[in-house]
Amino acid sequence: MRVLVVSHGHPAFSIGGAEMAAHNLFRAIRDTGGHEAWFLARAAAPIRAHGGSPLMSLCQGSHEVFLHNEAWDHFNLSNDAPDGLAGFASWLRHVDPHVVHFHHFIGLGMEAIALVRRVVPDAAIVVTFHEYLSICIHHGQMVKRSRNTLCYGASPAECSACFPEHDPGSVYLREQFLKNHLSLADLFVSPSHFLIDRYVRWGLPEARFRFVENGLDARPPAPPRTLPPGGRRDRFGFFGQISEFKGLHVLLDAVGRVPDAVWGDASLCIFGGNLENQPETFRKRFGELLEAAGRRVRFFGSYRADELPRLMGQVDWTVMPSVWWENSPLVIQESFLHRRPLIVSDIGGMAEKVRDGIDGLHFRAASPEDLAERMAQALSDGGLWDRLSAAAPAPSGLESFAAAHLALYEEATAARACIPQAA
Amino acid sequence: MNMIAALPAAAADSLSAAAPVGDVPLGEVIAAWSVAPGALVLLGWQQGAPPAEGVAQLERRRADRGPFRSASWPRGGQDDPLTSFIIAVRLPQGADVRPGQRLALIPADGPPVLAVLPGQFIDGERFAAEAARLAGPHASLLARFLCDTFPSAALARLPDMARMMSAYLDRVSLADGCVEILGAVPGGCAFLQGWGPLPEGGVQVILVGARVACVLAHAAAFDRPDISAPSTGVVLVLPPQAAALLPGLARVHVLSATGVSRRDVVTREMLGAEASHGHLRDLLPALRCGPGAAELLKAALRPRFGGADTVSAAPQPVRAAVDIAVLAPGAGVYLVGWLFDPARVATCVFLRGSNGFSARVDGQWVRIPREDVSGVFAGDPGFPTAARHDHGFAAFVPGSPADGAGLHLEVGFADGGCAFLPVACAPPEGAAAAALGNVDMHKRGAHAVIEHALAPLFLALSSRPAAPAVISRHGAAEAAHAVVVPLAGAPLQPKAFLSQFLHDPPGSDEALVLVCGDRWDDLSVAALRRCAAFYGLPASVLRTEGPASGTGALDAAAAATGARTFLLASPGAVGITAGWRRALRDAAEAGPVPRCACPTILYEDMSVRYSGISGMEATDCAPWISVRSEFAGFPSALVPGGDAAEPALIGSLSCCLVPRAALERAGGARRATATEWGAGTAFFLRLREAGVATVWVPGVRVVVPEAGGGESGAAAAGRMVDGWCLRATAAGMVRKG
Repeated sequence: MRVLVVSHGHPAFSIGGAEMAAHNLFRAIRDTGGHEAWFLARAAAPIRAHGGSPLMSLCQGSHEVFLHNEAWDHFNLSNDAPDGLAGFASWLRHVDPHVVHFHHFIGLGMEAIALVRRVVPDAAIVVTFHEYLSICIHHGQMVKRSRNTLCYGASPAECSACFPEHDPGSVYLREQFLKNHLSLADLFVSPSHFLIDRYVRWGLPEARFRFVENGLDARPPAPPRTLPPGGRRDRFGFFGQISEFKGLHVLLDAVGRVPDAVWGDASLCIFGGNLENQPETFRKRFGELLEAAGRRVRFFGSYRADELPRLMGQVDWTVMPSVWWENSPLVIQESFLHRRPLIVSDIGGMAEKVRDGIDGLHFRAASPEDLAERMAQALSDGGLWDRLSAAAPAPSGLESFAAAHLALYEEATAARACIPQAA
Repeated sequence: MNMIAALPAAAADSLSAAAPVGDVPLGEVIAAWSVAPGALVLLGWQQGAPPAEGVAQLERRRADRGPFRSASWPRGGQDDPLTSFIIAVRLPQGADVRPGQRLALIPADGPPVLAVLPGQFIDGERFAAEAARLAGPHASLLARFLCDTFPSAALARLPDMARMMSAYLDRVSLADGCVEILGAVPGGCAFLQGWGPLPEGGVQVILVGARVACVLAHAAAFDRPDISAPSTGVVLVLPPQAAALLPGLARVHVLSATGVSRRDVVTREMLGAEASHGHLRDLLPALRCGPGAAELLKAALRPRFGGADTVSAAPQPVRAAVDIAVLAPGAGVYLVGWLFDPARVATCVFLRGSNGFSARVDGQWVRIPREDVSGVFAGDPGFPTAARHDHGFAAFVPGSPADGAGLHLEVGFADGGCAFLPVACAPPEGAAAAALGNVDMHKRGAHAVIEHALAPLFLALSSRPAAPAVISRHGAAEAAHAVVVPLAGAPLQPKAFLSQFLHDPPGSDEALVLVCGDRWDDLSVAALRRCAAFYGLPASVLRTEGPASGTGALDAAAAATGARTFLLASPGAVGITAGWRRALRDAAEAGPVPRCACPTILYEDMSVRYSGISGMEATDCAPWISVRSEFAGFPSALVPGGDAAEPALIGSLSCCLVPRAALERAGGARRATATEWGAGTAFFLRLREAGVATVWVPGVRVVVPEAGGGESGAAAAGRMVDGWCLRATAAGMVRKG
């Protein structure tokens, strides 16, 4: 089977969960015998386009191609100059895939789906959702814009109230535009049931959804941190982007609330980048909270994906205090792989993946008080870490990840073959 | 046709149709002239005066009745008991009036009088001779009767009567003076200068030349040493409308109590406007005249507009400005501005034009609070403090100031002076919309501005078909059924609209017609074409003058394509019923007669935006028109479904199937209106008038979100304007609330 995986970025240039997942899938299929895999990533500034074609290679090998595109309408997730996709079309004819699997539309536009349907009408189109971007204008987070409170369902009126610059009619037409294109997809893939539920409630047909958990590279788990005699499992770690939605302010606030007697010599290690791209108000607040936390917190900055096992080895607990729903964060799978119990917000994909009291702890989302209690519990209950760590499920490897996808590709292409004339 | 304008038409209606034909005989009718079908003039005598006016009826023929009026005078000396009379009768044009018939004259109060028509009718020339003979010394009285019964407008339509009057006057008048100079000052007066006895005050004169017309003149005298008393130099000052009668003028008959005098025109030369003005100005110090002549001369000799603003430099504490002037060709001028006059020294404000157009503005304007104007002059020692802030004004000044050239305001002052303010008119396209935006709906007087000024402007504009010209057509897609999409405003790609064809592709008999307004340039049109091509849609793009409205798009599509049906769809329209376009076509083409079909139209929250309009009511105040729609605002689930179409008074331009035949019957779709709502309502009412029904198909659902957020002030004003115009023009179809 010939599979083209399309992503809004390439991990070589843009480290993000969706890019990683897409590229992991490409590699996994490539490495599975009997199949051919191609990878198309969108490129944009600061990568400079060539003069004669939007297509470029960027030294990533024969089966990885970049499509440079800047004509981007972020509100509608649309390509403002879809005829600029002509280069993509000619390459698509050349590849002639059986399956085109979109992992994102950012930077390419929904029109890319229509183009695929027209250029390779017999190919099955599969779309993986990594967040709620089609549903939610607010970066796909489903979090209210004013105070970052959780949003339980989008509607033109509610979204317009959140974004007064967009009237309800515009929001409705955006939704229709997206659905018009998504209707061309044969299957949708989600690594969380929570996300499936959200999209089904938004109006996509449930029958087209398939659940496939993200896969990880096979590697040995990091050993438990070596404790000094009498030592505690008192090292917390945060891994991920530094942004408002990741709830670092909740975590820093919580750290300050744990009594000294309980906290002792515990510490929180923050591994994450992208702070420089955050709004000034957030950066200021983050700085103040960090300063107030004093010696309890250490900020290490950004990290590379291949550093994660080593960094996980330095902590006992992973804390994921996101104030948005999340979907299926790779950090959860990584923590399970390295048997680091998680303390997570009790919402969305986090609540789905981490079982409270079994392989992790839940706290009330956005509540530093509750998080402080859970951290205190983690510091005080001597046997808790061992119990939770032992129960951590083994995450999927890339092989099973690829196998699951290939199975659904078979299903999609078989169904497609039954359609008399591709439309 | 109003054959005899001054006959008392109302009298005919007030009498019972069963009024008896009387048997009181009229003395003797000695002459009868059939002026025109149904119109008779009779001369005769009898004992005492005949009824002055009433209803005339051919004996025993109640259908042949109409008004009459008469004049009478003593036939001979004091001892003669008989009275001569002239009677003018207007019967229906089809009345079979023949000599020898009996004619009943039925006064409003008194017994009917029976007249026997002579054995034969005579012609106008002989009638003039008989009239002159019978009038004797009372020639002036008979002439006055003719003037009153056949005013100038009637004479213009009755050339035989004009000739008879001329012949009569030639017979009864005596030459007594002449006219040596003719002239006219546009917007001021016309005048005849010569010599003769001086008539007193206002005097009726009959001008005979290319036309015959009765005019009220005012005489002014000046010394002529070369003329013997009682004659003197005389200027007959005529109202400005009389200027049109001067070319070709041959003689003037002056009616006085003692008789009719004639003054032959001895020149064929008529002074031009400038020369007339200068001549009268030079003559004025020598003239002796009464108030009537003085007023006309003053008007004629007032300072003249030289093209410059003199209000700003006026010594009076008065300043003014015109913010908006919109010319409705052939109908009037809409004016918005302010006049700051805290000392109340301005006595009148006229709007005048170089073509003689003149209309008083201050009698019909609406005053508007303008605190900002008060503020500007607050610290100026040259102006008293304003006690009030109603300096603003808005008015629709009816009339035809040609193309608006030389248009200006003339502000008259109590001291007799005046000052001018040039008025630059904008063409109605665009300017009318700007005028809407200028109305501050939160200000006192806003409703009055709409009712008395802005709405009349739009009413005047709406009478003109206003199909926008197609500037260019891009693409040649043709099909029997056109999906017409008006793209008003800024060039934004209708992505949602076009992409819906991904899962509902157009049939082989369908093509899109995308109609862009003039804000779309070549680049954006090209992008639109590429966008349609990207989705594989057969599409033409039309670029039109002005903004692309729904009705304008229909007209443009009809002109540019040969489609049989037009599905007008807002660029925000999203069909949520499978096969919605076909369903609407089927509904429109279901019967033998073409009709329009609209779906159930929903807002983006699935509440009902349009579900047929079952009625409209006129109201006495804004918004003037209210519509009845049973399901408006309901959740869509509460609207019954089904394919059956239901009659609707009007449809919606947001989504509507219009067959070409229907469009042609209505004479096109577009007229100038303030809002798209008004355009649509007026269009569907005109369709109805033309016999084209509109139906609502409840089971077909289309979502059309409202553009923008809420109704702007201009939109609210526009809706009121359109409501007012609809109430005025569609009264027959709008129930009184």
